[in-house]
Amino acid sequence: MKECFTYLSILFCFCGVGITHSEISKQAAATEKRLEQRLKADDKLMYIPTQDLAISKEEEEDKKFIKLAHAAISGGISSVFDKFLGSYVTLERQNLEEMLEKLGNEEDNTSAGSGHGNVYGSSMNMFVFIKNSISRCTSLTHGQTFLSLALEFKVCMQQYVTMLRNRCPPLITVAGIGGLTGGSVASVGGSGSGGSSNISSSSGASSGGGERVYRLSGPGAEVGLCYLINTGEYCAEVVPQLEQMVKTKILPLLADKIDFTAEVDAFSDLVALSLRALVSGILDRMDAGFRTMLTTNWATLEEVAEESGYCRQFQAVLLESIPKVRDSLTPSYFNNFCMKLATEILQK
Amino acid sequence: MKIVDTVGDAEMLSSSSLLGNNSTLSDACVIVDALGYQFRHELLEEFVQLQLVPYEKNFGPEKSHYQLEDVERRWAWFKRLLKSMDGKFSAIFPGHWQVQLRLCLEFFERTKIHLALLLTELESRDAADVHQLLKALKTALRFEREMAVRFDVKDGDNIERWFIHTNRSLLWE
Repeated sequence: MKECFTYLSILFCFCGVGITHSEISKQAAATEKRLEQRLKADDKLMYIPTQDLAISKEEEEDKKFIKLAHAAISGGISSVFDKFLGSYVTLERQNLEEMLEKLGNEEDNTSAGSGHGNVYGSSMNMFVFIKNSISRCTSLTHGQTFLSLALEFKVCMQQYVTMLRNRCPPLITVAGIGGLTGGSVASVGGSGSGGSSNISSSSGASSGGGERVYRLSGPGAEVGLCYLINTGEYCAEVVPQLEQMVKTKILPLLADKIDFTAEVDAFSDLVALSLRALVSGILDRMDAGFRTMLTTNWATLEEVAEESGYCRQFQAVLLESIPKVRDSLTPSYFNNFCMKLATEILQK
Repeated sequence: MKIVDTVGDAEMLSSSSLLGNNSTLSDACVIVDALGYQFRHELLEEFVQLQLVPYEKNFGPEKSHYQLEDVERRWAWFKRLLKSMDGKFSAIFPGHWQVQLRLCLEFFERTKIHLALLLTELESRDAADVHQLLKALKTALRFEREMAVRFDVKDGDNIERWFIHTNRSLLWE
């Protein structure tokens, strides 16, 4: 027994605790008493922990400790930083803003998007930038900071939609065909940044009840609108995948805070707006023909001719625009466009 | 009781004839084991706390290395401590005591507190440089990975830092 206490005392010393002789004696006495009580309780001459129950309980405690320690090691220290990375999110926000500004200023070339016809390269650049931003962030944290960054992505995508919407010609009011006098409209040139879009808008509106139209300027304006449709469709398809990617990488308890539905809707709205503008713009080009048709004094015509002049005007507009639209839009949207245009013509 | 310095003193103590040889000490560990989990737990707790006294002295609040720029020194200090433990005590402490892992856990706990205090302080003074912050975080992540390898920590061991690298690819990939 004495030897046992000596060993223990040595161990205490070894553990870095300097113990005096009197302390050793005190501790030895206390330990001896504890051991005696235990031996009596167990009714054994020697204490050997061979009971299965005791061993399994200790093993369980050890396993519990290891599990706890392992959990603490993974992200135990780095998670502290998560609450203090506001400046990092600000930095990423600035990067996103700079990227958008750059995309807005430089020429926006188009390239074939997967199954979406030609889409604006700016959309792909934006998503690649966002993806890189995600990679940067997830190499640091998957927590609150990532959530804050995801909210910045939402802002960025909304700004990008606004940038694309600005490439659509604004609505202008012109005198209705019934009025025939024509509105005083002034072309203000292309609103699309980058110059690839030849869409121009008109401003000013005639007094009195007029017709609201989108006016296309330049022969390639309809192609620009087709690219907007393709780009909107492409983005509306990619954004849910982006949302899923963020949800997969963020901490599970934050995943339900990720919602990009509003951004998908914004891109879908862009598609609808561009399609409306395209139909309206082509109808606007046909307006002169409609006016001729309505102002013709049919009573003065003495014989039926081969073809009326206004029909040739219609044909010229459609022959110029439709092939470009057909070549630029995906088949499903081209069908949609044709249906809308035909419906509008019939309603004239 | 007098608290003495740890790694250095342990070196001195282990070379002292008072302690006997490694075999004697490992026998003592068997006795400690025999006294039950609680006894062993308390003893190891005390041992771990003592080992980290110099850490607190150097890296604790208001101490010389209590700054973001010195974060890497913390990891270097702890790695030296582990190396020292491996060299001197691995033949003494039984493996199931997980002494190094206990040290690591306590080190993590203390470091978390230090950094939380430090970062709060820097934030309140608006003095946190984002690049410095990111550098410190990156070194912390690297250190955690090293410790995870050392203690065989699997990704699944931590439910909070759960993430799965999905095979789902985006359109632009």
